[in-house]
Parts: sequence; structure tokens; C-alpha cells
Amino acid sequence: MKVGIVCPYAFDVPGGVQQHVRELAEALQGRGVQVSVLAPVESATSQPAHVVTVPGVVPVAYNGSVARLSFGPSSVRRVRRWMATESLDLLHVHEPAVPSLSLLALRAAEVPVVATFHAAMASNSRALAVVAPVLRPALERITARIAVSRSALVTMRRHFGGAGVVIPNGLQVSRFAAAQAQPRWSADGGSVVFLGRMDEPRKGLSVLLEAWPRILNRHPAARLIIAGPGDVQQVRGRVDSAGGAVARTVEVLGPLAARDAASLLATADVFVAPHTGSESFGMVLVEAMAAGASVLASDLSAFADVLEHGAAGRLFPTGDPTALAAGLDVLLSEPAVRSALARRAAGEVRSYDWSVVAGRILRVYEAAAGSGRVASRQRSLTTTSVSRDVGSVVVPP
Amino acid sequence: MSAQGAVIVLCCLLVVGVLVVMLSSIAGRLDRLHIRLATTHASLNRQLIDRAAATADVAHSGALDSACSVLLLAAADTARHATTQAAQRGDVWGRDDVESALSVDLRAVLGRPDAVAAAWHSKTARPLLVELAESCDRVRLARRFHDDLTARTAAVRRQRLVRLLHLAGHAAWPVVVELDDEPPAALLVAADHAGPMPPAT
Repeated sequence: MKVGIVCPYAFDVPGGVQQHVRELAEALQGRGVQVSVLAPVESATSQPAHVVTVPGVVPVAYNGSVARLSFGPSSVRRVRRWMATESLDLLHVHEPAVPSLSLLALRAAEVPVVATFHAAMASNSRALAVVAPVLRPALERITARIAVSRSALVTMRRHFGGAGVVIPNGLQVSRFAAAQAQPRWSADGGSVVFLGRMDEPRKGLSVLLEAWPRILNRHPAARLIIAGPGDVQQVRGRVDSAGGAVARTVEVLGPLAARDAASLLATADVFVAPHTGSESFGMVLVEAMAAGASVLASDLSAFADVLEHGAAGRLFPTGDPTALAAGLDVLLSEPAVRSALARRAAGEVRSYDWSVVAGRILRVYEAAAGSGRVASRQRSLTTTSVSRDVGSVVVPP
Repeated sequence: MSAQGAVIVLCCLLVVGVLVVMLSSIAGRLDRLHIRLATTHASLNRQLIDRAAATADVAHSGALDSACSVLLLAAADTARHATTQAAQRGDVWGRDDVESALSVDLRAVLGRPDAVAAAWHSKTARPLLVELAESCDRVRLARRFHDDLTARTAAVRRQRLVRLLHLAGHAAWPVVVELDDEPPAALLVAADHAGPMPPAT
């Protein structure tokens, strides 16, 4: 089977969808599936051989954030040329509602189409409500719809109707499980970690910083490490203005390389995810769980699902610094609670490993394209007789 | 003809032109929906055939006790026989009961972790069990996609304009497939965590 995967966002800019597409392509190739990825790029960077790039992305404001997308006549031509040369058996588009390559590929598709919906958006997304009727005829071309979480499924259903299956984003669990703890980030009183865009309000860093003085009252030797993209000086300034004890116990690392991020999570006693909204999945929670950290997260529905409603990580009411402090106090005081959560989490993360997720996505491909892998002798007799009757069964090579 | 008359005629032509384009685009959409519906229907059919075969393979593998083997073999054979008969009648469906019964039997035999663990001991049967789990999952997925597409097609066909102008032509009214396709839970979990298997030959 040859599968074409289309990513709507610039492939050389970090992002959840891009990472998912990149790792999915690798996992599928590992299973002997031929893959060609079509993705826009911002600049001429070197990409693996199976990635076909479309240069020239345009940064546009779409649905509340800036996205680097690819559209216009030359993009349409490139999508058509890609489809003509690759002779695909199946097309897998990501975020088909975003006006970029995925939507263009969908319009040109002649083969069965699988689509993955990543985003979870508030019910009052005006932009989506306006464009949904225009998108509907294009989205009709989709045979199988995947949502990465229940929240993403709800968003998809609200705007476009119909049914879909939930398959979470994948993760290479072993990479995080093997990450080494770094003594320079540990602390006797407990090491607490925040990892995410420091300057994006919905990532909730301010909720954690508001709770931190309360934590210090109970755990003076605790340490807070803040890492992620954003302006280090600006965050440092906010921390220093909160007074001596806070300034002494908080470290601002800023952006980290992927390997260091995994090590930081492996060092953390508690990983805090104080996000305040619009989270579709919570990959960073799964990463922390895989690295062995105990997780304390706001009770967004996507997070509650990942944390098994409190069994694999603690939850606190979203945006509430008092509740965050209380939850963190329990986790820092009781190592037994932490290790119980970590044990449960280690079991839960196995279902997010690519070995499981890629298999589930592959079965969606097979169900959508009408192919399968069962190949015993008696069966192939029956299959041929029936496929003649129904006409369009795709018999695998 | 007066200038006014010419304008009226032109306007009429324009309206007719727009109508024709609109209607043919709806007809095209419907046509594509029906083609996709046929594909998902064929896929569901294929997945059901696969599942029956995979069930028979597991029953023959010796990994299950004789009672379980006999039960599954009988259910798989009934499903296969019904498929052949339906195909000979030219009636693609009409075997929902038989396929649902196979689902019930599969859950009875392989729905619990201890039963799956016992069968898992046999190294030769393991790939066959994984195949069976995956084909059960594919049946469920294929039916969901089929029924989703059925609902979407029916929604377009219910539009007044479509009914009035017979835009769907002679295509049969899309019908959902009612089927118990719930897979044996424990088997699916075991197969998922077994990782990719070499293809069974």
C-alpha cells in the first residue's frame, strides 16, 4: 500500500501536527508501508527523501493564532503534480479544515481519504462557523475521520457533523523512559517542572507562579524549573519582582533541545501543566508520564482523559492557584503517592507508543481502502468470489 | 426586440445558467458520495470475510481448548457460508445476524484477559491471534465509516431540490448496517501491546 500524507503547516517550524506527521511516516515505513509526505516549508531545508516540499508559506492569522500556510495557484499545481507522480492507494490529510495543502489535496483526491482532526476549539469559534458550509462539500470526500482526542472529536462533530474514531497522538515511549535524570536540575525539597511556551497565556505559567510562594511556605527547599520557548529575560523579570525566596528557588531555562527536555522531565519529581484552555490533547503530559514524572494538571477534559481522571496523575480546577498549591503540597509531601501515580502512568503511556498507535492508524487505512492483511488459503478463494460481485474491493499486493 | 426585452432575456439566461451549474454540482457531489459508499460497503464485506477466516485460523491453531475451538469454527463457518450464499443471490447483505453471532462468540471465548493469556502461551498462535484482533477492529472501523457515509449521503438526498429533480438518479436509498461488531476487549489489548507482527503466511 502506498499512502500520501499531507501536512498543512510549515514542516520546518516546530509544532504538534508536524511532529505527528513526521513520526507517523517513520512508524509506517517501519511496518513496510510506502509513504510520501507533502508539506509546505518556510525555507529550503533538507528533508528526508520521502518528504516532498512546497516552498513559500504565508504567515496568516487563522482562528486566533498565526499559522504558516500554503495556498494559491502554484500550491494547487504542486499538489496535483505530487498526486499524479506518486500513484497513491490512499490519502491521509491532517487538519483538512485549515486552508492549506490538506484542503487542496482533498479537493483533488481520487483515492479513499482518511483525515485527522487535531484541534479542539471553543464552541464559539466564529471563523469555523462561517467557513463550515463552504468546507462541507470538500470534507464529504473523506471516508474515514480520526480525531486525536475526545475534545477534538467534539469540535469536529460540532462544526462538520458525522462520526469519527479517536486515536491519540503517538510518542516514542522508549526515548523518554531512557532519558537520564540530571543532578543539576534535582532538589532535596522536590523538583517541580513547567515545560511549554512561557509567554503564551493559555499555557498557564502565571497560575503556577501565583501558587509558588504558598508552596515555599510548606516546602522551602523545593525548586521550580521553567523551560520552553519564549523570552527568558521577561519571565526572569517577573520571577525576580516576586521577592527573594521566589527568585532564589525559581530557575528559568528557556528553550531546550528535545534531548534536554526529556532529561528535564526525567529529573522532575512533579510535572505541572497549569494550562487554562484550548488544549486538544496534552502530548507534554504523556511525555512527562513516559519519563517517570508525577503529573499535576488543570482539569481540562483533554488532560483528564490522558490522566485517567486522576488515576494516572492529579488534577486541579483550571486556573485556580490555591488548588494547584494544595495539590502540589500533597505530591511533594508524599513520595508514596508520587510513586503510585508513576506506576499507573507507566502502564497508561504504553497505549500512546507508536508501536500501538501506528497499528491503529494502519487499520483505519485498511478499513477505509477495503484492504486487509489476513492471507490464508481458504480465505483467498472466498475473497475472489465475493470481490467480483461487489466490484471495488482493493486486494492487497 | 427592445433593449428592455434583451435585458430580460439575458437575465433569464443567466439565472438558468447558474441553476444548471448549481444542480450539476450537487449531482456530482451525490455521485461521488455514492461511489465512496460502494467502496466502504465493499470494504466492510471484505473485513467480515477476513474476520471469519482469521477466526477459523485461530480455531485450527490448537491454542484454544477443544470446546472453544469448536464453537469458533462453527460460528466462522456459518458466517462464511452466509457470505457465499448472499453473494450467489446477488444480495450483498442479509447476514447481519450471523456476523453478530460471531461477534458474541468471539467475546465469549476471547473477551477476558485470562482466556487470552492462556491462548497467548502458544508461540505459533500469537500472530494468528493478532490477525484476528486486528480484523475485528477493522470490521468495527469499516462499519463506522460506512454508516457515517450513509448518514451523510442520506442527508444530501433528503434535500427538497434533490428529491424533486431526481438528482440521485436510480441509486438505491443508503441504508446503515445494523451489526454487533464489538470486538473481544482483552484480545485487542493483548494484540495492541504485542507490537507489529510478521505477516502470517
